[in-house]
Amino acid sequence: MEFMGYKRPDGTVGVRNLVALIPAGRCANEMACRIADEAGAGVHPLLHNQPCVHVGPDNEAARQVLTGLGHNPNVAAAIVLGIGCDSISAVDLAADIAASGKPVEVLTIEREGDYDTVVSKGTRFARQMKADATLLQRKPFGLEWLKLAVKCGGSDTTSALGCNPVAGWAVDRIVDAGGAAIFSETAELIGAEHIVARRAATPEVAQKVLDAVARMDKRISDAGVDILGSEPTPGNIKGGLTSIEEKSLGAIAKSGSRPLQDVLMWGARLPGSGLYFMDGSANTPQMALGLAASGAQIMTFGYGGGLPSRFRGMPASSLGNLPILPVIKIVSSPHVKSELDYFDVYAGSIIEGMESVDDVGQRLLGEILAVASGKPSKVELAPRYREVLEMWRTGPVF
Amino acid sequence: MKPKAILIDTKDNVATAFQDLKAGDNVTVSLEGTDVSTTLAQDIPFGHKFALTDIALHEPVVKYGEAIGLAIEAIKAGQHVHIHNMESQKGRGDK
Repeated sequence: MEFMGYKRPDGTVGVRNLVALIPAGRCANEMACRIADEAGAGVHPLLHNQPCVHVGPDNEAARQVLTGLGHNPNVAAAIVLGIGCDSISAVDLAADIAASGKPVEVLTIEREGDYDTVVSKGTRFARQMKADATLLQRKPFGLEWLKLAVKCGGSDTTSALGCNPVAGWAVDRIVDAGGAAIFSETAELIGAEHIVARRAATPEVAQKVLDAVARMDKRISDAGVDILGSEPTPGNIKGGLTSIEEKSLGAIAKSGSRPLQDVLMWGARLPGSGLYFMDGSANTPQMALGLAASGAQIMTFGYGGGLPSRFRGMPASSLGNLPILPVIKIVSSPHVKSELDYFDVYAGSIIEGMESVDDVGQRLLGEILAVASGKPSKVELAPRYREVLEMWRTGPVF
Repeated sequence: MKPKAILIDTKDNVATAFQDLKAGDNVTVSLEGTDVSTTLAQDIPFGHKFALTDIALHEPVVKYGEAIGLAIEAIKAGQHVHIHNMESQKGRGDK
């Protein structure tokens, strides 16, 4: 089994070939939008909400995430934009991204002297990078070059039996072939952490799983709240999910059955092949940002039949602004058949007793290879709009 | 054929409706050669759970072979099991 991808100078393989405009802080978002509007298709502003009033670990995590976006194999070239007083230095960030060997430019108001110079030079660089990227050719690569991210949302009780085991089936095939897979959403391990810990490759990794959940649990205790109504969400509850334990036990099915190699901090890069867990937010825009920074090239997004499955793009649709991580949508509930034009893979046939997890898994893997080879997924065909990506913050804001 | 409901693990004391089911419906779920039949005491919407056996107050509700919470009142076989009669034991910063 093969897909057609773009070999990058650092040895990774991209499935898209985009020019990324990466603001060092949110104040540079405006310039990124101006340059993207001038430079046209193929040039994408990765807008985000990193301010200059975060501290310590939150700034470190944000820097790691922004570096990871630049390193993502779907990025052919990047321009880092800054004001000059950003909490993350645009110049340092550009140097970190340039370590990938890709073309990288950096422009700040401080260095260029004014806003208009940044925009005009940025537009010129972006057009040139876009032209250069078109000369790169897709070549065949095996499954071992794939890094798949998996996520579920709009969950109901069909998710555990439809989209999640199907995604897990594809994860197992990719891991067995020598590729990598990653899942996240620490709150959605609560009540199922012992099962994931049992799959850890070493006792140390098992402890990391339990520690990540314990940290999340402590945050819940410190807040003095019951997470019911947040986990599971109001939509999940409508769909029949009653407790976080029930949701988690269904959610972990998307990670397949292979050993867990390690637990990564939010936004860290995938260190090798096999299955990984990212300790991070279950909030889609934050979670997807972390997984894009990990270097994953494609994400599957499995839905139940909840109201979020009626969205035409994505819920929390900052993914519409994350073209560097193409999303394949799977739906599990036979109740959303009217929406199938907006999904890539229908897994409701399992609930209807018409197909097995193997059958739908095969179809999903076929779709992953097709999308990896350049076929636009349904989300990529949906109208795009710009929304700001969100950093996952655990510290104070000043 | 589309099943009415599904039993996921032999240890489970709840099943999940795969169709909108009505009070009075007799539903049989099968797993590993064992059939469990229940007469529904209430309407059970698609995707929601019903008890296969009586579940006493503070006894665990079991799905996937794991405890997914505790009964906060005595639950009779055939009754709807959801946030009105069971409670999560996790993520409870309020307790």
